[in-house]
Amino acid sequence: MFAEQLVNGLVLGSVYALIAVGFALQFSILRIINLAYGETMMASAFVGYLVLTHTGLGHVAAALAAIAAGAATGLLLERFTLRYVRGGDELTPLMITIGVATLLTSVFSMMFGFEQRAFPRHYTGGILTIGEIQITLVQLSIFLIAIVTMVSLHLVLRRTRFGRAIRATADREHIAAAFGVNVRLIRVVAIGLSSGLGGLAGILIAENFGVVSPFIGTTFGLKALVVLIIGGAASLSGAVAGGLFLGMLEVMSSAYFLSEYRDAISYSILIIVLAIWPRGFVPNAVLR
Amino acid sequence: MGYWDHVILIAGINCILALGFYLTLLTGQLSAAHAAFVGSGSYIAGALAVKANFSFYPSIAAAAVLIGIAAAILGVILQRLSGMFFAIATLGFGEVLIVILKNNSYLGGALGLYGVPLRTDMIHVMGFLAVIVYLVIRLEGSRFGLSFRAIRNDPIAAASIGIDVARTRILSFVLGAIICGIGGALQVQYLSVVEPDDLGFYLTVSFLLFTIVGGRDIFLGSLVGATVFTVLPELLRITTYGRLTIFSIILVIIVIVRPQGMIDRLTALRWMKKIKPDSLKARFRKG
Amino acid sequence: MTPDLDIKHVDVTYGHVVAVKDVSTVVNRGEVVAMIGGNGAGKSSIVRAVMGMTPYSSGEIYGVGGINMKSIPPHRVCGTGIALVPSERQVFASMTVRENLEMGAYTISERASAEREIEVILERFPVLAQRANHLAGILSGGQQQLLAIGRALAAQPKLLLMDEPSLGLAPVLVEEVFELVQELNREGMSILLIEQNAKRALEISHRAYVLRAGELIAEGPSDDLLNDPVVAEAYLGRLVTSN
Repeated sequence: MFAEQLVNGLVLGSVYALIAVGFALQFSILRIINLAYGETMMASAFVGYLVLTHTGLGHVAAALAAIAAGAATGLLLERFTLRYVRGGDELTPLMITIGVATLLTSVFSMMFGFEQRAFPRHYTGGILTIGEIQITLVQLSIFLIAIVTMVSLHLVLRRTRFGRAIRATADREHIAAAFGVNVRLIRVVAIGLSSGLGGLAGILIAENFGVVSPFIGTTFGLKALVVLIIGGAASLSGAVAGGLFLGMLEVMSSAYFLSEYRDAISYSILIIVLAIWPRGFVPNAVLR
Repeated sequence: MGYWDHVILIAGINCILALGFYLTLLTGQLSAAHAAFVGSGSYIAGALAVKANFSFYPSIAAAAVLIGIAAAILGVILQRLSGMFFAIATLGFGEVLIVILKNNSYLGGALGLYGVPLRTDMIHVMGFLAVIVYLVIRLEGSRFGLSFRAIRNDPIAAASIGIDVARTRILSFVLGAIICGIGGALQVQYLSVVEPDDLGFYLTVSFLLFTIVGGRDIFLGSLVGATVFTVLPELLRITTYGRLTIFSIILVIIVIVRPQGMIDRLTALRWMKKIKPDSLKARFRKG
Repeated sequence: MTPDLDIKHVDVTYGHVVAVKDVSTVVNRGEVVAMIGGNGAGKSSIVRAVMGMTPYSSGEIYGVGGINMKSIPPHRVCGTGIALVPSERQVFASMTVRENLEMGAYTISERASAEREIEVILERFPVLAQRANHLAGILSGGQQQLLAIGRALAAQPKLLLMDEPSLGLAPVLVEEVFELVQELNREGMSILLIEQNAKRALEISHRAYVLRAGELIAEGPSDDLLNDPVVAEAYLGRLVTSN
């Protein structure tokens, strides 16, 4: 049913947009492509999973735990690795994040095995019906959380003094410092914030699909990249639009054709876009 | 063949693969596609052997040629990219191939291609390795090889002294890819099987370990890295995921603490002074 | 009154390279002090040392009110009353003109005062007011220079540190900038003007320092330096017979 796929596409797309926004935030401030971002999401999802399966606390607690785990992962990554290679070439941080990504994947697969695990579903049984379209409460929650988060972030960046400080740091770090911005603090906040967003996205994905696996990190990391590069060149809203677009594309193509090639299509788009616009990608434009 | 012969043979193949990755890295291109080229070389040689009854050398040659063509095309498409974005794009390439292979039953689908004749022997691996090492040494000592490093260090300066940066980059990409393809072709005729996931990320991480930890600035680094990180895990009997965990930790630590790797140029030159003739030493000093 | 800027015998080295050796500079309240010299003379190293961006191996730097700058981290320098107009403008290209000014006022704790000052600045520079909501990155070189100055003014400083403001500008705009410097000084601003355009810098400043290869080779009232034969020949391109 088309309407159903539309809803699925929007929900998935909203999460992809969230991933892209977090990823873009990190990229603008750190100036690196953090290939461990997907794995941060995966680790956070597992933390949420553990909260749900080992404690009596509910989904909200799990989500908060996931956000905290994400933020912690990002902060540790910056503090103990990336900080030491600041100002160097651009391949070095890439290699570090590749290493960390692999580390996380292998550690989590040793802890949890290679199989996917079922992520406990939220059984409120609520279904919203608009005309012919049925939206589950879970889907609605995911969509709303993603949208609200992105809007809030947008408002913070655009309307607050602190948000301006973040954008100024992303634009020209040393000049921002010359006008009183505590750049180090901004970096830490930006990384914590963006990784926390990643953690949120991770658990939202787990809620959406009902599974967690140690190997989803690479997949989602690459998707974040695709969204960023497709939409990020324009603006923050571009990243959002890119995310929605990718979500729709994947759901539609899964439902109607070529479901196995879904990922290949995303990656091919990535290569094509990069090939045509190698530098068309302005990092701090994303924060507007 | 004894257990340790097996390990040494695999180490030999890994040395070949590492050299391929290293050659491309010399121009500053971190290629996640080389892992895909290894796997593709395996698929090409394996498929030709199984389906078209190609014999040993022709299957390897075919793999080399086809990989060369594919790499040339990819290299041209991606020529305007550098550094991070180049690496990302090559990552995407590998993933695309994996998906295609998994859904293609002619080549065995997700289970992979089986039944490839066992034809690779120690002498083949060492022979190819020796030839490739020799070619790499000649290349590194030549002006062309020097231009590789010039491009990595400062592409703009390199261009200003007349080096055709784009062409040289593509060439280093293609040469590295061909070497990887040959390695893959050798490998499949030893292991008898290749799977889609062999083209994946794990191999790229291994490459980084071999070349970056081994020593990114001189070919010896890749050889040492490949040998050490093939043999050591076997010696210590580490499981696959344990291996990955330790590899990634080592990679991160080395990149931060000793980025030049185990074998840096200075150490290598000093070592070579002791056992190699002067002419070779002189060639290296220039780089 | 203590000087607004007192650089005492500062050395700046980058590894083995000595960029600045034993340079001393004083800017008193209400003065325009010029620092002239060619490329690589060490001028930008001095700027970086004052702003806390580069460590200095020996010597002392005292800021507004005699505060010892050594213990002040880079992001607190602005709060001491020194605002930077960076070389090559360096406006925040992805932010609007107004947002650039707001960043200038980042250290102003009283929001009302900051807003007022921004309006004053926009009134002073109609060119910027017309483009208040445009991205700074699309402004012309001259407009960006005005924005960079406006941004520094928004910090309500006592001392402006202007690093080669005339660089890369068309002659007409260069004149505008130098006139602006004088205007700001008439209003009471202390200014350290780093310049390659030696002639104009000397003409609009009270005192000057001449730097070559990291060392001070001349200093004194600008009028004297304008007529100094050595300076004239090296930097002003003309022969002057001493009177």
